[in-house]
Amino acid sequence: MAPSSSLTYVLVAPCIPLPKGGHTAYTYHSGKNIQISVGSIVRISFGKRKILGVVLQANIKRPRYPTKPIASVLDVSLTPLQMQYANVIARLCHGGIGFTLRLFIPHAL
Amino acid sequence: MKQKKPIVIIEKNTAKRVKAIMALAKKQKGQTLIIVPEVAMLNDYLGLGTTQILIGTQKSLFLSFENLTTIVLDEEQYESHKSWNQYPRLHTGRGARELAALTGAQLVYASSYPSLALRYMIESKACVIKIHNPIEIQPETIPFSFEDRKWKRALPNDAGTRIRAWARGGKKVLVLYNKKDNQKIQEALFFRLSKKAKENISLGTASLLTDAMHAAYDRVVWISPELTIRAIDYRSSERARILAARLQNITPKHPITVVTRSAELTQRILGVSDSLWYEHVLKERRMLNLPPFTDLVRLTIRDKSSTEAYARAETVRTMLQDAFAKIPNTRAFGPYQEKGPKKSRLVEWHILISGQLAAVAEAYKDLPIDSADVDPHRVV
Repeated sequence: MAPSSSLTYVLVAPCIPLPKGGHTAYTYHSGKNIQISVGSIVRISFGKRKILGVVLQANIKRPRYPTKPIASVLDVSLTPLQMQYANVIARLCHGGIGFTLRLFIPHAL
Repeated sequence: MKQKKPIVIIEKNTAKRVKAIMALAKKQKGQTLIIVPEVAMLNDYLGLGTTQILIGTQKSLFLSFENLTTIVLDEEQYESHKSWNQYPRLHTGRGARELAALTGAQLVYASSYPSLALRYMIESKACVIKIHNPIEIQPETIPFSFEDRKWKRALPNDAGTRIRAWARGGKKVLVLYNKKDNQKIQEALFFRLSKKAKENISLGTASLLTDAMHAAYDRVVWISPELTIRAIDYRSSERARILAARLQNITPKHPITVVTRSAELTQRILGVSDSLWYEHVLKERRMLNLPPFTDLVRLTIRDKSSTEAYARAETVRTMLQDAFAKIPNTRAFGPYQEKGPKKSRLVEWHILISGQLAAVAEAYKDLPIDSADVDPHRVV
């Protein structure tokens, strides 16, 4: 495993429906040389599944608990406008930010 | 971002409306998004899309735009703008308004027959009208006579004879009956008709209208509009008129034949002028504080056991009432029960809330609910 100083931590919203009242985003890590920014679409392991997620916050502080690595970063990413719009829809329709961001991800992915 | 007044284009002729929308889109410096309610309607814009003019259904709202300056909502009155069976259950109109608020884009409402909300916007001068040429509904009513009732006919003799004569004469007839169980109607319609004549009659529900070929009909018959008019919803008369207008537009030169058991009711809803109907319904909605004077949201609480779902719904309602005490003109109704989807064993309880959306959304955002349906397609 790489030393923690060579890692970058990001907050990722999994694009699946999550239980109400629980967490909406989870912390993952990746190598520092991998470019990840807010809106990046990433493949993550969630439980036993491999799913898509969207980065909500990049370069966050290293958490106290162990984190899982990001499996891969996809070439496409969401624009700030799409992120903003997803927030509005998630707030109005009460579906969770990750599940809402799923609508913005191109179908082919 | 400062919102510009929406532009309104009301034109009954589809080709002319599309031309007006495209002319407006071509004048824009940035991107224009044209949203249609049904996939089949994309045919009206076939070959007209460019990198600057994007044409699509509700899903196109979620594309990435570089410089979105105009959002056109075509046939804004259609029910199919509301996605009601899957998250986010968004009404395209609502989605377009929210996107326009974020980008500062110009909203354009295009329609062949304006919805009540758009009529209210026009009346209160909240928009700019470019073209105003709506459909005029001309219904021709055929009621069930005493004889028809006595012999328990599925269709009045007069209507059956007329439809069969059209079919025999080679005219394509669209017969709309908003019930899937149409066996008796079918038997009555096809009585002593040749195979060739039978092919001229298309009998079905409103889903027939999404067929791209509907423009080819010569006559339109609507059987039992009271099924739509009597639906338990405050929008039922509006829905009936919008459907009637849609049928009228298929055969603009001929009146639509309305076959009904409730002639008086049908006459009161479909037979009156637009202005008279609008005045009456608007007065009713103002009195009951219904849209366009407020926004409605249907909150859903699901659980395996009815007792647990109800207990949670009660808690939610109490929390809402506490929050609403500080917000004027907001109300919560319920909880009321409804069965979940047939395959699901979950029990659903709903709470209906009314008030300005921005304010009520703040009140329900952190509550333990399962979903929020903004502008619900049905209240009960």
